[in-house]
Amino acid sequence: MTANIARAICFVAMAALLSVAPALADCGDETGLLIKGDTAVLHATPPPSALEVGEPFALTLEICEAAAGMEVIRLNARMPAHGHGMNYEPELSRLDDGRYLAEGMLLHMPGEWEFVVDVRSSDQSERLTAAVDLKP
Amino acid sequence: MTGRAASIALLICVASSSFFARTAAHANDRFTSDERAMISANGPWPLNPTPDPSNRFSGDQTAIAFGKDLFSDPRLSRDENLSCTSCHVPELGFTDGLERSTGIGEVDRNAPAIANLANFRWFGWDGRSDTLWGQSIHPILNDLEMAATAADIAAQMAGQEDLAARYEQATQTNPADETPEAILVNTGKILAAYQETLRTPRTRFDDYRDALVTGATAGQVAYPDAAKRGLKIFTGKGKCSICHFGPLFTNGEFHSIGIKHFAAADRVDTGRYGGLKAFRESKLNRLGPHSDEDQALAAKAPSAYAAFLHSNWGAYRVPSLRNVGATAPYMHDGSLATLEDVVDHYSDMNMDRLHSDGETLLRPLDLSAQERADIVAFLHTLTAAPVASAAGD
Ligand SMILES: [Cu+2]
Repeated sequence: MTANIARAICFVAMAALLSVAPALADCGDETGLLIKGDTAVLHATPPPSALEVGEPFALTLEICEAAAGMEVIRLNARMPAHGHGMNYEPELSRLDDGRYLAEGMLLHMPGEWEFVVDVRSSDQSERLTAAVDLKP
Repeated sequence: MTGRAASIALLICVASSSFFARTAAHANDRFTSDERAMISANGPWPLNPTPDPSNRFSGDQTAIAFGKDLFSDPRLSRDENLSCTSCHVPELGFTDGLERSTGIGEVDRNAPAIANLANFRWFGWDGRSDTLWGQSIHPILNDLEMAATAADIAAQMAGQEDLAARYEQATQTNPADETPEAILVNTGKILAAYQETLRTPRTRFDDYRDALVTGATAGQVAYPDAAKRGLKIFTGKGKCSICHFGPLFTNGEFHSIGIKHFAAADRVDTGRYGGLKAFRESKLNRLGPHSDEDQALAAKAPSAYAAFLHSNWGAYRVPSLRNVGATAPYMHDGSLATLEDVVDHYSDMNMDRLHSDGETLLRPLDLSAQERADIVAFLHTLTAAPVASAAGD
């Protein structure tokens, strides 16, 4: 009986631990944008609310969790409803602390944008997207 | 009360009640919250112009005064008969009123208005330059415009007593000691320093926009109803303000809007495609040997990341709409004579002329005659007095 209770407590504790387990705590500031896929979860800053129409910015990407060996290889932005992307080709670089920096970003219209991030490892790749509502 | 007095009283009642009804409507002026956000983003005005880091004469009063005189000096042209003001006439909003401008020959483009340039990212209809000074050198050298050479400009600056003295005063160098290329670049920078001071004043729209943002009723009532209806279409179903965005009424970028691509029967104007190519080949850029900007910073400027895209073909820089009532005719080739024609163009958009993979933002608006007139009424509230130099005389 006592063992059963102990087991139950242990189970609940484990379940609680597991539900927190995705290493989001490693992603720092919660105000950024989460970009989620099957093989990776990324955290982007600054958050969409801090972006301004027509103002250049650099986006920092952090891998929160990912399959082994996963790397970010490309980042871009597009307006799906308008059928166009940015007029600028951002440059992606890997920082010393393991994060990625996309420089040369510029969203030239207010409205619904989408960040498009390609991730790849030696044996798999995925295109992740996240909606960005750019306010006037 | 006589019948006549009663009918006058009735008239006053009817008139005043409709006045009050209108006043009440002004309180929130029938805009959705998205439309209000767009209108708010069209201000405040004026903008604070930032000095051009690539031009060491930016904001320099000696250079500005010299630049103002050079702007109308025909000695900058090969035949000494044309100046910047030949096509950028101050009394015509710094345009020339022609469909396509004529220097030594006729060019394919309409002379763009020169105002508020200190806040631009790209210059020219095709964005061939990311510096105002680089753009200012282009018409001096172009065979169809002023058709001079760097050697011509150097000969004038060094050989004409008045020019040599003012050049030395502005640049602290004697033109006789400089290369023709250096003199040409400095001439462009001095012309740019002057042009940066040309700004459009506040307009009826700005007063209304501020009143809408602050909730000041009097300012909202003062704006004409037709202009309000036009503004609602402009920011709402017309989607005009998506590209004519912000205080300058332009997002500063490039779009194809279905104007014919042929500059002549045998010649296509490639627009932004050719502009970006010319930009990449030019030395007169922020990131370049003649720029005064910290090159590490210039390497991070948006222009350093400009992308070659299929959509560059036949795209032109979205013009600012400030002072638009004074700068007819319209479009890169001046093919639309009036603002009414421009509104008709968007209302009756010819989809065949847009690239098949072009933006889906443009669709015929099918506006009524009243709606068209309302948009034009709104556009006229973006024009106040003639363009003035903030530097004064
Ligand atoms: Cu768009």
